[in-house]
Amino acid sequence: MVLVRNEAEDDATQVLVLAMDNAKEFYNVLKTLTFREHAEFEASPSGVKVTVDDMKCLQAIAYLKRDLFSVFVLREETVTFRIPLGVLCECVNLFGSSPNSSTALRMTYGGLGEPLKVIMEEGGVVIRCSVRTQQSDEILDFEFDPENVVSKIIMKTEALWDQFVDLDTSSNTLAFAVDIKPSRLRLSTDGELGTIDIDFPADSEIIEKFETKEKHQNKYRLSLIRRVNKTLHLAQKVSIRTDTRGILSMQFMVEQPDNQHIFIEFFCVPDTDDYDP
Amino acid sequence: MVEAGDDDFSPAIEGPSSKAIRCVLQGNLKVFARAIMALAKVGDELLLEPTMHGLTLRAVNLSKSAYGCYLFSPSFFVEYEGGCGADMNASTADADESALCKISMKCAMSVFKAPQFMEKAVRSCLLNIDPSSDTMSVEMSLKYGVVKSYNIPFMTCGPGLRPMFDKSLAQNCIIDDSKCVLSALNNFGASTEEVTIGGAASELLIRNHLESEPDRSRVVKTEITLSKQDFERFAVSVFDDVTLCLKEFKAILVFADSLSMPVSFYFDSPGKPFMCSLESDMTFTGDFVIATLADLPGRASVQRRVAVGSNSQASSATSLAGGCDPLNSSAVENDRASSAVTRSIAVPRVLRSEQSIETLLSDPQTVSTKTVPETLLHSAHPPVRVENDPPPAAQVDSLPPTEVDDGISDTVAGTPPPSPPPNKRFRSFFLGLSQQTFHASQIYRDAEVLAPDSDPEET
Repeated sequence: MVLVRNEAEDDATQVLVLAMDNAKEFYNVLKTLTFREHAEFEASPSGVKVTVDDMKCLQAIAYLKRDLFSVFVLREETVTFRIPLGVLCECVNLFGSSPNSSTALRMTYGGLGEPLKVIMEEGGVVIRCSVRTQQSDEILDFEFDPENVVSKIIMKTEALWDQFVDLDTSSNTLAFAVDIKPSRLRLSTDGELGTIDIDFPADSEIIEKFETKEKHQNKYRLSLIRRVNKTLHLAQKVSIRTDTRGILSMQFMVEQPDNQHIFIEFFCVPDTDDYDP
Repeated sequence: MVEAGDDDFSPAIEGPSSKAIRCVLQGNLKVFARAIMALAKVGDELLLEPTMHGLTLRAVNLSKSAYGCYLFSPSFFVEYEGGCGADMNASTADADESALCKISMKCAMSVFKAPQFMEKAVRSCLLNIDPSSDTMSVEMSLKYGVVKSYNIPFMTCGPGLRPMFDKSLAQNCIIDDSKCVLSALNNFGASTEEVTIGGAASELLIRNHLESEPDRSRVVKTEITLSKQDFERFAVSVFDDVTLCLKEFKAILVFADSLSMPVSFYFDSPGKPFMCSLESDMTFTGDFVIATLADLPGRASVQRRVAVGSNSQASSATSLAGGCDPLNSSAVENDRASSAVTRSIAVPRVLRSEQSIETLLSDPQTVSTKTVPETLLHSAHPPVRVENDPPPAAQVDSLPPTEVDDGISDTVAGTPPPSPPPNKRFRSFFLGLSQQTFHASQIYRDAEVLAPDSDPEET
């Protein structure tokens, strides 16, 4: 693995320098968030956060800890910028994704107004990209407080994904209901195919933890919830929490080769439009 | 048990009515799902009839030229309870007695999709069908204890269709247990819509039907001969060619192929229905009835004179070549232009040739014909309906425009005619207004001119 440095770029002027030995996981994670054009990139001493906001009703955040990077240089307190995520993903994937090879990745950022420079190397071939950045927008804080959580379910993603890809898209909403008697998580849709209920009993082998203070049900816009599909497919486990306001939090855990984990979290506000009389 | 719906104003809060069934599918779920896939090729609505003798699934296409039916006996299911003892052949004019219910085929397909997937993922499937309720429920037990329940709304169901086909009347019977016909059909181009099947003494000939193609010189003509030895049973006594729609025909063959079941074909002369049956399984039966193209009058039916003995192949080929070129192909093409004009106007029936009609009337044995659907022509003269059996009946009836007397009819008289069959078929059936004998201007010949043509160019 050879990382080529551009002689013209002095690293000391770059406020952020990141390098990864294998770009594939970085690409896989970012790819699941490309449902909107732009993402907010935030680097802090603990790592990198990539946030995508969807109409202020859904928010997705990918957390990449500092340890995931082979080089992590931060010359300011925090560095934030707005970047077209789809473009960044395409750059990172320019070598394609064959399983045997690994692409070395290096990203540098010079500060406000500067582009994000992405250098990739594989087998002696080097590709340099420059992605324009914008000033970062304010990131909406959904204020999800772990103290106000009504229910928490930790489960394996496989069975949930099988059902999510099959959801009746003619339904406006997807209802999440957590029941106590019987203890289960019930997903419901109501569309042209009639009403469909999918029950995950608490004692199922795919549910690792099932805690709830009371039974509750909330509906979410199906078109928004379906944004989680790609992440659901990539991750191995998910923690589904609902707070007292009905806001849904889905925290996905993506396992990495060296026992590391990448977390991707989705927040979704409940759908308050109720057309049923 | 209280019969639900006795009083219109009290909701059915009591248990399921006596017409309801509750059944469980396990191993046979994929067969059930494939049956629904086959019926989906026929029609857009799935009719269900649960009785104590079993569950019947039916579908009919829009033009009523294809009908599919599966009857699953209680032994097909792991559990089967309930159902009234409705006589399957009884008249269902009385809605209270009827156990018929209807769901959209789209719903049915979304529930019973991907049979291969179902086999692996679904442990068992519970069906609750109560014709007097608003919905039916399907509960699937998946792996890991996950349960998926569907509540499918019923559509309003008119009185049932009672097909009146009788396999014992068909003069030809072929049983195919080694998928010969399906593998033959796979040789036809993807755009083939109709095929013509001709039975001979020792072989079966299948070719693509060309009359309906817009540009006949550009179409690949395919012809396949299957020998009598390839079939389990081959009893052909009427050597006629019948033409039918490929899509529905292939649907049942694909179903049979997936389960390695033999298919029995019952057919006769052109115009008579072509029946495909699955009769080998003890727990269910399947029947597909497909209308065949009737010969147009004035065109001699394609009689394949098969000489007895070793020359059979040669002579059948020549008579085929002579017979398959339709006499009135030009008329059919011209009909496209004139059909739009004539559809809504009272026109005297101009027959292709007076002489040919006389021939038909005097010699009903050689030609089997049917006149054009009467609902499409409001005729000044009563139309002549010529059939194999004399005498011809002069009547205008309210049968929907079907290609053929395939025996499917609404039991309630006076129903509005359904939408006419697709243009192509209509074209091929349209009788008698060949451009040689008739011109659009003739319609207005005697009419009073209210506004003369003011276009200066047209003089």
